[in-house]
Amino acid sequence: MSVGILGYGVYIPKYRIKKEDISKVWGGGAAGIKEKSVLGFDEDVTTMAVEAAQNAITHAGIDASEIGALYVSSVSSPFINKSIAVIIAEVLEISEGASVADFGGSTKSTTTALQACADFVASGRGNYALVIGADAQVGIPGDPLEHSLGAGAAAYLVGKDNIIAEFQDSYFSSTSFTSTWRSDGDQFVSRYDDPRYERFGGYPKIIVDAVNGLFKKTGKTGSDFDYAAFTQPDAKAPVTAVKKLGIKSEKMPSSIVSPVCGDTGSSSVLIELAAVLDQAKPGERIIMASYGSGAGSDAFSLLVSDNVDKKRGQVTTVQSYIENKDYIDYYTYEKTIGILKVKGLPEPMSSIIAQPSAERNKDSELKLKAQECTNCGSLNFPKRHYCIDCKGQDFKDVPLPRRGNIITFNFQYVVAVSPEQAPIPVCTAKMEGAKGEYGGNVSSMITDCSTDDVKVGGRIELVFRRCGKELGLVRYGYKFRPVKE
Amino acid sequence: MAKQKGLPVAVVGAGMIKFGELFGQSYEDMIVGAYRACLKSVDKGVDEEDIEAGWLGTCIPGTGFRREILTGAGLAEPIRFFPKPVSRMENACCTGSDAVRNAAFSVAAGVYDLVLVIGAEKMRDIPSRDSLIAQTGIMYHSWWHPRGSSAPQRFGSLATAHMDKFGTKREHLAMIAVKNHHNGTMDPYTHFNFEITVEQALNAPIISWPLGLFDSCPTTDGAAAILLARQDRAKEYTDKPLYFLGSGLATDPMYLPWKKNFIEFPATQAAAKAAYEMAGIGPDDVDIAELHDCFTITELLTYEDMGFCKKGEGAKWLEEGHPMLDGSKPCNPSGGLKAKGHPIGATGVAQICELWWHLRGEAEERQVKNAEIACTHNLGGLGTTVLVNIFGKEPR
Repeated sequence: MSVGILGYGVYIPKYRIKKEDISKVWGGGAAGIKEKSVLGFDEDVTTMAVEAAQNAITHAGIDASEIGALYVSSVSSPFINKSIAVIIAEVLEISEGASVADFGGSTKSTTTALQACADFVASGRGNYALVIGADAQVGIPGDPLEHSLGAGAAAYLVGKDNIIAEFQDSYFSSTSFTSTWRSDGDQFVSRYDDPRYERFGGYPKIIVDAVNGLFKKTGKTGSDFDYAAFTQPDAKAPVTAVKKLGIKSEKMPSSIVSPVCGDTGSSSVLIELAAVLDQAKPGERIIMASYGSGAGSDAFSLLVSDNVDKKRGQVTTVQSYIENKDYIDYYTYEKTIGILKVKGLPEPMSSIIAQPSAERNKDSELKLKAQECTNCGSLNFPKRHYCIDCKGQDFKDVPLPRRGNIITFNFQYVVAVSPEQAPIPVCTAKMEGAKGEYGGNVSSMITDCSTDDVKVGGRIELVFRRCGKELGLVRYGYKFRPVKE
Repeated sequence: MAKQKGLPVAVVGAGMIKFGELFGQSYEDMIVGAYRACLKSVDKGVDEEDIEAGWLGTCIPGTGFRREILTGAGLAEPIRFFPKPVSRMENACCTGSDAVRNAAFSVAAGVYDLVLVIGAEKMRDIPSRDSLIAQTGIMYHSWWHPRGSSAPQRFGSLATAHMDKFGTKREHLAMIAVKNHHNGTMDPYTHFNFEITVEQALNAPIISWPLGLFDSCPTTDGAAAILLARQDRAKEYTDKPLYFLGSGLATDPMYLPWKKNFIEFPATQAAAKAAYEMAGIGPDDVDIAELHDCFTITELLTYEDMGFCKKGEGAKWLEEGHPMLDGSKPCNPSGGLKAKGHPIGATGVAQICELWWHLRGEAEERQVKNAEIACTHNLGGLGTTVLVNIFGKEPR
């Protein structure tokens, strides 16, 4: 039984920034990279992964509900602790019983996820498994990584019948050697600033060691292969490695995607393989190798089968994604990836603390200005146009009496605003000397007070205190406190 | 000129969905559910094309519950009613009842022969701290904003005053909760359908002393619908319509310190008086009352303010068993807001559904026998707006 690729699909966002536009601001560049792909404002790895997966499923010609496993690899998920694979599974309508997981920690995890898909199918646990690699990593402004880190996604439907390329052998090489990393809380990818050891012991050594390991295991050499599809941290390193391994590279350049899209991270090796499959012929052989800083390299050998021709033209090619592009300037780029912070929407607030309302309420809330009806003598507080008791329209300005007697009260255990403490006594009091049946009362919380101190008829006085916060702004005003007799 | 008795309007259909925490249903799903239940209830059937206009009662679709501003299209869209006219009503907790009142007026005025009223509210999707109980905006007045007010606080202030003046006890409030929970176990449409005891109610967490958890109605999702027809065409739809005998609406100050006192709801007294006068009846003629028990104290005060007993004697009237299901004047046979829940816009319409079943003899286990006249009572804000609607088996 041979396990292999049933269909594949890629996604590269439409936006590009040219090397010159970054260099204009910061100078510098990254090896062989002329421009790179950038997410649109409403895209992220999840949305890219969905579109790549939809392409792959269409190409494979199966129903998504038949997929038994979905593994998504990314090092730039919007979440640290939440699955994007499950969101993707729900969007694709993959059945609830499927094995669904996120892979990450390194861009090499993509091929671990691919191997898991192949094992899933080979073991007979299911007929189809889907692997997706997707990334949109961001470099520090001015750093060479800002030139190289691009955005993209690729998906492969793995199965065992009607495959277009067969997985033949694999060889895994794990090493903690580190060239780039992103620590918890960092937005940007960091790197060692000294390229000397990298050139010797980094990507060029690790990926070559892994492929040589596969050669040794299978008794093959570079000349047995027609194509190489390697992870592309830049556009030059893969070319050097392919040359060193003696792989025939005349059919296709060894860096197709990275010169025009940059390093697409977890999707890089899969997009490169898609570019190869877009033109490979039955019987041709491909060597594929992933790379992840701090993780190592996985090498795979593939044999292209007859089906590749039948499926040709049924999927959007890598080349057409590369060609479908719009250029953005550096400011737009900075805004899109969040270097230039756009001020968010204002916090929701009540109209009560809005400037006009705060100003209108100053007389009653800070100055305790009240009115006495000249007709019936009722104390109206805050001020009114028609007397609350007799509908009179003529008033005399008077200060609000500072002391009063409790008419009724509550102890608030659930409080809407400023729950500094609970329970909060809240009461309504008839103010001393105030007239009126409807007028003459004030309600407020009682401060410096225990529930034992509150009773109907009890004396309270108004005291100037903090009255909560909104928009981080302290509000001041009067509350009650018990009168010490 | 003597005012006319009754409204020449009849209820010819009434239906609702089971209230509750309806996570599986959208606002629109609930409206459709209530609409279908209402259509199904029409004994002789109704051609949907004959419904000429609609009223939608929804209280807080805006910032409170994070919906867009709502229009009558909120009803027209889900049931494919457009381009027919739909007005949207909001009048605090009287929203549903006032939608019914205004729809009835349009029929009484001779503008329409058959109209639809739907009340609906989606309250459970958002977290409790964003819900009505914790809303700051509803306290209306700037002064209150940082000073600890809330709906339970406002109603609790009347409980404290009533206890102080008349000796009413927390036990009396608990008896109302126990009664309404008991009635609710027999109503298939309630949010809660379990019994509670006086001890459970007294020992429950305090929300705003003297009111505890079981003194408070829950926040609930729900929708209810009725069809109103011209009285002289009612028999085209059913041989057992409910006749619209009277309607009264009244207001009172919103700002708590501007209340006349804390032992009564003057707006309930005024609304009841207006409704009784229109119906040509008195409080003794009411056989069943669906009352607005947003908090237990509200129901107790309402016994007094509706004139079922004298001011200050609500607790005694309760102790004597009058509002019990087998009492002289069953109050809240549905379980009230306490057990059924209080999806604000739906409440007043759902109360009419309950009367529809009782007056037609379809209330099964909880059926009140020999009822001829029944009323609904809704109270919005701290009695700042009150609406009483009265229905009967026979027209005026």
